[in-house]
Amino acid sequence: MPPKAKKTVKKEEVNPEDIELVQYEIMAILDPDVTVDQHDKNFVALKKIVTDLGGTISHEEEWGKREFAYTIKKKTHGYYIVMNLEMDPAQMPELNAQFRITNYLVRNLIIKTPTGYTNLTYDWDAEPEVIEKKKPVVKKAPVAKKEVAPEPEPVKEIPTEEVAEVTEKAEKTEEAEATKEVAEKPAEEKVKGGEKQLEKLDEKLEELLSGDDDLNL
Amino acid sequence: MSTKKNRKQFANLCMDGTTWVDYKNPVIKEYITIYGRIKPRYYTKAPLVVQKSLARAIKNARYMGLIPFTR
Repeated sequence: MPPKAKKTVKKEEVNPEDIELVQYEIMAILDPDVTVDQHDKNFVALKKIVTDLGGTISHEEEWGKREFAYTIKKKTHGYYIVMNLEMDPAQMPELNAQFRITNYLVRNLIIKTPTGYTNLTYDWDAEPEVIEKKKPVVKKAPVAKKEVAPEPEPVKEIPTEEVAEVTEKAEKTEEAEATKEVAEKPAEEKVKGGEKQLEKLDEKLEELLSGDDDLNL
Repeated sequence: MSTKKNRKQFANLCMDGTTWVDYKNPVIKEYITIYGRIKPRYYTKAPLVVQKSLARAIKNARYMGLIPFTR
């Protein structure tokens, strides 16, 4: 067999104006177990890796030291950093390779952001339970008021608009009440008996206080 | 299950005017079970595009140690 001709890969020279830059977001976790000076050096070095490969950082944000949900590389905490940048997608494999060999980087994530992406800050420490507990208290209060409110309303409306009907209704209601009293007397005899006693006592008191008797109180 | 009109319900979850879910948004904690699994679509009632984006966001957040894989 004749020896195979070696394949020569020609690198195509690309005009820098033709490169379509892509919006990326990098989240990196830096090693928290270093001094403040060393941490600043690490952060600058991380940004230098990006800028050397032609990336332009538009926004950077430090979340600070946070606790992991699980241990990563035998560490429980990490220093979170978020960066938004614009970069040539052809350089991303090189960027990944550079990130892989940096010692102070615990973990990193590179994603493409959608068009029209705006940086938003989120509060991970806020407890959603507190918000959920407040909601039912607000909902229950108006319901209880509604049940109480409708009762007095019809009493106010009747005398203003329907005077003629009110008299008829009143007669009917009196008759109905009379029938009801007749029907309910045996059941409420004990209660009314107590009331009658009180009424008698009141009458006696009035007689005594009026001074018609010979007691001279 | 869900229609395009239903997407309005997930406006707080998605980026404005899109169906993209941010992995940095702590709201995604409500879409995992107490054991850390992604809630299925018949519980979340999310449209398909949102559910897929949500699953991607949860996986990214897990990788970065923001939410747990399991409990």
